[in-house]
Amino acid sequence: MLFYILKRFLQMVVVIAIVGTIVFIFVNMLGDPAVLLLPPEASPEELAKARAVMGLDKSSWEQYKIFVVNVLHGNLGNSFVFREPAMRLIFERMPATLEIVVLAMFLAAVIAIPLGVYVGAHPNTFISRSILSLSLLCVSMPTFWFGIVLILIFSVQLGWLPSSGRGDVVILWGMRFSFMTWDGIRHLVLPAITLAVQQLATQLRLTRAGMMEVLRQDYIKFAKAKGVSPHNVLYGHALKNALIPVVTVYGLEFGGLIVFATITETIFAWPGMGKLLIDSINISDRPVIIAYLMLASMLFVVINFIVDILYTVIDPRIDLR
Amino acid sequence: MITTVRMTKLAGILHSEGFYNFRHNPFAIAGALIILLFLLTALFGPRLVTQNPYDLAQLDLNDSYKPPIWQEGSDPRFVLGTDDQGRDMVSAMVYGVRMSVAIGFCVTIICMTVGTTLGLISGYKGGRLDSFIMGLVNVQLSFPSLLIAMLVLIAFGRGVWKIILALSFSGWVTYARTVRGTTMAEKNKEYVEAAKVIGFSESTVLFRHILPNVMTPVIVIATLQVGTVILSEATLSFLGIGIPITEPSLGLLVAQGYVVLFSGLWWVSVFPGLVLMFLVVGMNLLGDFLRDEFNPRLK
Amino acid sequence: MRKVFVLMLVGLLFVLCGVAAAFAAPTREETVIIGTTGDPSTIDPHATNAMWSNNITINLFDPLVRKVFDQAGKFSLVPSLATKWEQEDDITWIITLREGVQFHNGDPFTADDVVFSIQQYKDSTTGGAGFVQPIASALALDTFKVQIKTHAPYAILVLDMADIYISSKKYFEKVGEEGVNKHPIGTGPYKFVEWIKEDHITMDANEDYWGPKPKIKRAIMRPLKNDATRVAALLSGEVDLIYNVPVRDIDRVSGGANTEVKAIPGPDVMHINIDVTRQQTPGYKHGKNPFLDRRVREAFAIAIDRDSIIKNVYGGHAYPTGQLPIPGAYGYVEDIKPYPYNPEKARQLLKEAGYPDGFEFVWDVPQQRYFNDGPCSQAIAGFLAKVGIKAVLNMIPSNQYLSYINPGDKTTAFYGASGTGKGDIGYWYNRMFYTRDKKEGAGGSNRTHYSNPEVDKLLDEADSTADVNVRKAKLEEVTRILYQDYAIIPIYQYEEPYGMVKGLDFTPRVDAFIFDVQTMQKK
Repeated sequence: MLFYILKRFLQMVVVIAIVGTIVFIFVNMLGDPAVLLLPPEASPEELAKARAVMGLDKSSWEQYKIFVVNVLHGNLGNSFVFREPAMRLIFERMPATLEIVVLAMFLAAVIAIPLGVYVGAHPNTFISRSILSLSLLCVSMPTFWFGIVLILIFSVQLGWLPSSGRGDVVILWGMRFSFMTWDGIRHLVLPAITLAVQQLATQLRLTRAGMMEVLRQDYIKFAKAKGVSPHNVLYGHALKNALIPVVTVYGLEFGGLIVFATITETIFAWPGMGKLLIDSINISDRPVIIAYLMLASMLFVVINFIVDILYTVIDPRIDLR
Repeated sequence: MITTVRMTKLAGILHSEGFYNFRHNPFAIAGALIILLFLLTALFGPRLVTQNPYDLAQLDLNDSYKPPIWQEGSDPRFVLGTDDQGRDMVSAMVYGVRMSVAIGFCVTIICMTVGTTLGLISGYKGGRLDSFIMGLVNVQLSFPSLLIAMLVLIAFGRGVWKIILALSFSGWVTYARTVRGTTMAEKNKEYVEAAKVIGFSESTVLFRHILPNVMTPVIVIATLQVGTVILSEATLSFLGIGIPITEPSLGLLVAQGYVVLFSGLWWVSVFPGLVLMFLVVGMNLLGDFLRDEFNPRLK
Repeated sequence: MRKVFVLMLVGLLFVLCGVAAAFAAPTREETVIIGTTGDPSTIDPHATNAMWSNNITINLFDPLVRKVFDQAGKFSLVPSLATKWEQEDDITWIITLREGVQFHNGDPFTADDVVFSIQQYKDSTTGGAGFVQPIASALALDTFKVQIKTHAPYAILVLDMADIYISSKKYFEKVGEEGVNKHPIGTGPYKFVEWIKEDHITMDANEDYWGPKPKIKRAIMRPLKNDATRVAALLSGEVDLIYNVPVRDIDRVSGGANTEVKAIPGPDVMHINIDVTRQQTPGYKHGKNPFLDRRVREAFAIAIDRDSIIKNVYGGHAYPTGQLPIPGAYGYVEDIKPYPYNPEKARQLLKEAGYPDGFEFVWDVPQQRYFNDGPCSQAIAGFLAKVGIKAVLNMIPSNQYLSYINPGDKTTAFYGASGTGKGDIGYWYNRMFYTRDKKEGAGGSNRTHYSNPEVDKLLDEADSTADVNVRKAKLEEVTRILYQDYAIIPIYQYEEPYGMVKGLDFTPRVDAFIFDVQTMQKK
């Protein structure tokens, strides 16, 4: 077991190193930041000076070496645009992204799992079929379009909810959160729902599939024959096992949702990490792009690692080879 | 002789249990019909619509932002209204469907080919090659496909072929993994032993004998993937890093409409999104049916 | 009993403090909240020429000379920190400074601060250097006298002086660059209060200001990049003034109960540049460069229906133009009208030039770099296509656009914008139309290799005189030549629509320092 953990940990480190290199190479193929950041009247001398300050006048290999040394010291460079450490910029915006992601996952789980259990247990009722059809629609729908439709209905036509931005924030432990104010919640609703919809539908279908599979197993039939109440069969025996794939997917989804939130943040002008990424791409703010990609990769790799370990602990059927 | 064989195969499919289930499952039939409708649109649509909305000479700027025919101020030539350049929405969406379908199929076929091949090789050969390929797969699986696609597009820029490249980059892994698993199970079976004894070359064994037996999950994955690819392209185009605005794309139309949402110009965003949804629903209906059909654990 | 009494006293004290605080802080009526389209990257006055940094600079600092704008967008110059400026010889100017001015921290303003500030501009690597580019040296002759020498005779130093803002040398020596960016100290009508990144910047009126006391007591700048949020904030009363009302929302804002729109011509002109000099051009693969023929260029220019573009792509909020300088700038020619719209004549000209079926060429256009550039370039391509010129749009992402067209080796035609915010077109003419690689510092933006010895000569003459009127005449001559030569195809001049609450007295400026709060008041 320990050996396995160690092996996976080393794999993790290797992966991060490879990703960092790939990211560095790719991002250097972007446009020239000096030209973008200086006003169009800038003379060639000014451009050269600016490039020197940003370290762009050195050879690619030199830049790469500096990059590696910096990363090992935890320094991912200063944003060309804001002149502040790129890491700090991303961390400042992380609470905003986390707010909608956590809220979305919560909404999705709270609705999808009970519904999924019901639909899996009683697959042929009219309600079940309707829910399933609805979930199919939700999975097939482009998220960005759904967000726009929500804006159309609730902001433009009805004027009930704001269409963009973040509400009033409360500063907690040095970070800015908006879910503690009424205005903040009003601004959170539409983005969170948009993000939650696809999650919800997928989890519902997964739970349903898991339930259906489990309920056909012999030990369930045996429990029924034994006379265990249907309620206990469902929640005591079946649910636990049906949930294993759901839970693992859940963990992996978290990382994916953070990236996916980029779309929601763009539509709702939500000041999170994803919006920072898109803005940085448009202005070639390389340090921020690299920092985002590195941090995101590290996040996924670590989450994967944890989920893998947990999975082996939870499911006794898994072979560690 | 060959015709008879073919006819028998076809008859075999038509009389199989699978097809029976298909015929009696309204959802599956609906899915197949929708897909057929979109395929026909993609192939013949451009001939039927009133203009080629991507030929700038055919557009008249003064037709811009006309509303759909049931609203005031509309023009009977443009049933669902026009966009900012005066493009007829119906024509633009037909071209957009063509692009979506083309990209969806291209990417899926590429991923299917590459992924299945790598999976076969990996599962059959084992050893270092297998570890390497699976290592690659695992690394890629840890990253959301959207992120990978974005990375490729950031580096290489916009363009239809670049999008196909970007989306293929992240799509092949599921095939590789699944096929590898099935291959590993199949390679120890008797018919493989028999083929090896007879003297067939390795590639023949792989592609003529093992491949047909691992195709089932591949087909399911493929059907479901087309829908995902279509949505991914629409998303990337919407974000502005996908298809350039001179080419048709349903995602681009939605993006255009987003900008003017608050002025009450709703049709530019709403209709293309509905079309996208409909298209993907079709693929998912069929894909769901196939998946349930081929899942042995549900029998 | 005693305890209760003490408690009541303490309570009363708190209440009094609160009341006092409430009185001390400016009320909503005395505050103006402005919605901008972005947070500044820095508020160091000498670091950059970015709009939102400039907008903080103009309020916290004073320039040597101030531009005052009228309702029509024309400006006049009044003394600010410089009270007199005289020319000693062709390249030497003596500036007399205002006495008795203090920085926000009490330090006195002297000639040393001017010399220091000019040097700071020169040392900037992020765009500030452009402001002092013609200046060779600055020397403090006396506590309130500065001598400025220019590299060459420079007739419009005064215009540059309007963009040179003065900061405190002593303060910089005390707190360094980071300190200045955290809490800038100037002599301006407003004092810095706080900056919460991406949220707001607060400035309070400087009660000890040497000039007329500002009527607005507090100014808050809020970055609201998203168009919909910004407009919504104005309509709900959250902000009093916003920059850049999107075209589609102009009717909504001007029809609002408490809001109105004020639109003035902006400093930028959108134009198309085509290769008029080279025999072979990269965007045309079938032989000789068609644009060498003046008739082809004329056809190009008159094939475009500018009015339709302005109406449909910009909602009517732009002005067709036939030249690069804007009205009021040196080099603007009053009687030049925009090229007329005449597609039949265009087709005729093409036939005469030997292209009866038109021709195809590659047109480099940016995506999302300029306002509505995508729809505009598509619309233009549409008009060209109708006369037979097929423009194949090569859409380049905004962040790669300038790098792509600058070297000039791939471009046949491109689409760009130039601003005359300074009030003089000479700098841009030098960069865009002076023969490439002939003179240092000129032709740097001449991406289509335009080369006309007549134009070069006139620009040299304009730059070697210290007489403003001579310079103006030379520049106007260049404008006429470019117009007749069809060297550049201007399309339209931007309009800048500002949204504001009714009752706010606000005169927009036509340069990069738009929100001059000391000129505002609430009625």
